[in-house]
Amino acid sequence: MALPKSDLPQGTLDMLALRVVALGPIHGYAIAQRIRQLSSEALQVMQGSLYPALHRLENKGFLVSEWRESETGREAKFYRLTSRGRARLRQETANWKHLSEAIALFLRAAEGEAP
Amino acid sequence: MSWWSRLLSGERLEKELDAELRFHLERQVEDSIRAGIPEQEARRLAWNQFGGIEQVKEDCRDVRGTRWVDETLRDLGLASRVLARDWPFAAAAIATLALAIGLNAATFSVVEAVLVRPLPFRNPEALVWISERNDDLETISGAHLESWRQGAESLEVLSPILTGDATLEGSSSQVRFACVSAQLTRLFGVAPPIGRDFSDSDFHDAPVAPGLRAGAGPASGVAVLSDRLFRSLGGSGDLLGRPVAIHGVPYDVVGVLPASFSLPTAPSLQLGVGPQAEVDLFLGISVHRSYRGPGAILGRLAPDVSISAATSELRILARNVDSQDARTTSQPAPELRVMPLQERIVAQVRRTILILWACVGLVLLIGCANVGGLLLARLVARRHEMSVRLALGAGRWRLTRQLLAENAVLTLASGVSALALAWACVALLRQVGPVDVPRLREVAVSPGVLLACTTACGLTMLLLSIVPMLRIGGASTVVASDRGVVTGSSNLRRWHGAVVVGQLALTLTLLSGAGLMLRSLMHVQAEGAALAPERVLTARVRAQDLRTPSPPQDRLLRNGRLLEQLEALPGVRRAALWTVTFGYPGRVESLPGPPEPPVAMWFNVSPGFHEASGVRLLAGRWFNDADRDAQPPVVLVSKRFAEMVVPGGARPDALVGRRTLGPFSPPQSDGREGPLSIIGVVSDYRSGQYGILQPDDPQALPQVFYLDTLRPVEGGDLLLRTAAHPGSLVPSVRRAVEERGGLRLIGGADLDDQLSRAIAPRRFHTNVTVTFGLVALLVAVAGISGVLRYSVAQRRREIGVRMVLGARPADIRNMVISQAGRLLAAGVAGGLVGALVLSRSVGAGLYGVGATDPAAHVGATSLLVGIALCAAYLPARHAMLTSPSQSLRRN
Repeated sequence: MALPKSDLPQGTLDMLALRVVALGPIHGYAIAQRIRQLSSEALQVMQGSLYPALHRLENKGFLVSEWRESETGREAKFYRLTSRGRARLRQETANWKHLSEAIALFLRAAEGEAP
Repeated sequence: MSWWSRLLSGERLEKELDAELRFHLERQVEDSIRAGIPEQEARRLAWNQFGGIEQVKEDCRDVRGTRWVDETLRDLGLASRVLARDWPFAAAAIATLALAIGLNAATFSVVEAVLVRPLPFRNPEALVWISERNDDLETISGAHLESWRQGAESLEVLSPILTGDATLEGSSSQVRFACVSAQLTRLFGVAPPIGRDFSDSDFHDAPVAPGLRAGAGPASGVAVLSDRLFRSLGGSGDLLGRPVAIHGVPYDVVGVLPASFSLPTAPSLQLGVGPQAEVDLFLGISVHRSYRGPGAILGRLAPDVSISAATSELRILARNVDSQDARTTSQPAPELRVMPLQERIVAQVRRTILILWACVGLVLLIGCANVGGLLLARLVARRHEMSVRLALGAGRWRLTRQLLAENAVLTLASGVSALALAWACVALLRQVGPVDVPRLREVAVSPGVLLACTTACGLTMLLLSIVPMLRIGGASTVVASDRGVVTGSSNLRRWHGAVVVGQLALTLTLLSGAGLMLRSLMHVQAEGAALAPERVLTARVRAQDLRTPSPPQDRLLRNGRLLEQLEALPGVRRAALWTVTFGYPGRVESLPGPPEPPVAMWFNVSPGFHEASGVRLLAGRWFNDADRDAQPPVVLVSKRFAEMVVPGGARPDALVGRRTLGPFSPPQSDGREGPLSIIGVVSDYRSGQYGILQPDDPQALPQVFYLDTLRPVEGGDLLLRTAAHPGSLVPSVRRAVEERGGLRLIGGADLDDQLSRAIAPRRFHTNVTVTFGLVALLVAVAGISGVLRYSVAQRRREIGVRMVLGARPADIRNMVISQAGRLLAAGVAGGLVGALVLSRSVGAGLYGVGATDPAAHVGATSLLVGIALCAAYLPARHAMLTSPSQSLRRN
């Protein structure tokens, strides 16, 4: 059964993008596809909003980009993770895990108390 | 990618953004087609999934963080283009503001360097200048000094300071020296980096101050040089231990002060006073207990002691000394004054500088008012455009931003031009500045001041352009102005009129002030010319050796022979010697005097003095041969003496035959004060040589002249009335003096030059004020012509209607001119009030004219009115010559 599609919580798009770019140099379109595939189509990203996020990460020095030939032979902008970006990804992932575990724990406990 | 590189490569980023997004969309379409979706549908899907492409682009641009810069630059560019199109307005505004800001920045730089900046010493605020005054004469008493040094706890260090100018022997340049008797390290907190400071033993056997009449002293002393003098003497270490000679007394150089040390001095009555200068040479001296005469004391306050506490302590100690000394109790007690050293140094110029500052502040106000007026006029002209844009939906913020940008461009451009102007003014000032302003060498344009002035102007402009802007309505105003109804703007026009009136009033104030100063200068110059009606050479004759004074009869004989020899020189008509020997209260027996008799200067003169100096006899007679042994001795007094010594003034001939009292102990008399008989009254003698002898000194002292036989002195000031050009005689006079042996000639100048040098500061201040006045006039005239031009432009339709209804062109012209007349009348009324207030405050600086001098005020008013009416004529003529059909159609 497919999970209902849900919107992304604020700020998580950055983490998803970093996670995808961490797998190797990749262009914007492929990033969007990967996010969809990896989440089994559960996470719906309005594709346009990916680009401001990528540019923001690039300006902050977490990503670097270069133009080179894509798999179809056309020039595309490829993003690559920097060491700062890697550190950031580690930190955000840890944060996220911590937070989601805490929330799951909370929800379980609350359910237990319910009559 | 850093913020700066993002800012600089904006165009490339834009292209890349476009390519990146296009790539995304096209891949999406390709993938969909491959999945079997028809192309049309695939495209729609891709766009849908992507979201608004322009919105995404905007978001990406926001992420760059450089957007506000781009927009500001765009606004400024637009503003520059708008201003360039309206260049007469822009040029007038920028020129006005640059002048006003630049002059203010330059003047404030002077204020800062001269009046505000602390002196370069340790704790400079603890340094005080102590003097005992008899009227304008600063004196010290050796006995007081001694008691203060022993007993005063409020002062850490005390040293007499006697300044003077001398030519270093073996060098041609004059140096200013200061005689002190305290270690410079203790006094100023500055130690000599080369050599050593004075030591206490240096003062024990030190000579008395050069030029003081206190008699013999030891044969040599020690000196500390300024860095500047050290360099000008070669700057090598050999100088240490070698003597420099001042007035024939050798002083061994023991140390050199650092280059940062600078002690400016104020003009004073001590010793010889030359131009305002910094002290280059410190001489170690001793002041004897019995000394009582010109000089002052420099002291350093103990920590946490106030000036008033120190003053009362010194006063009590001085009174104790006086009560033990019968000699001093009979004389009026001098007034003890303690003031910060810095205040004393600038005392004479503070007022002048502050007045100039006030004047230049007026120029700034006028400039702001003028630019404000121009802005208002421009706004009236653009009101239609603004209203249309508002009605069409342009945001108020958008329009305000445009005005802000225009203001920013104007302010920036005027700030930069002002900096250049201020810099040029300061450079010029340091070259040709008045000799009486101390510390002029330290003046530099202060960036803070420039910024402050520019900001002030910017804010004024903001206020004047934004506030009315906010009151402009939208559509309703468009309709109104299209119908030719100008109700909304009558308010604006009234405001504009008020601005112009204010400007005219300030200008008149300034012009009147300048007129008063100009009249004073003319007065002084005329008087100076009257004082030196013919060719007169002045110089000074000094004994080579002050340590071994000759007997009085020898001095008289020597002076007499010298004068004879000089009169025998070709080209010399008459020669005379004179010396101011002391200041002493002037009184007339059997006439009621003021409760405190004014101090008179007592001149020791040779019999040829009146012919050589050119003073005029107003009553009585001059000295004759029989007066040499007259009993009681005889004197002449000056016109000023007659005015001041008798309350309300006396007619010169009323004094002839009366008696005065002098401080002599004539050989024939046994009393301390001998009676002296007044045989004549002469005009005042002014030569510009000493502070008090300046022709424009409002506090000129009364003068008493007595014959040199009464108290023979060695040498003195030489006056030669010549047939040839005085300057050409200097070498032969010098030869004649030095041939006599034991005498030296110092200086040598044309009396005319000397007088003109003496009034140089006044001339300079007057020139500056007149320049300010003319700048203000120019600005105000531009203002009134601007307001009329815009008012004519605005009333074009009304003028057209009037002409159609039969008004003659001359009527139209008169209508415009009478509008100018109303503005002028209001401005002149305000200005005259301002001028009277201002001139009361400069009153003390005036000479020979009252604060209400009609010539100055009427002159200034007619200049302003005349030029303003000329400026009004052009727009009036323009209005007159426009044909009615043209004016009506153009609306």
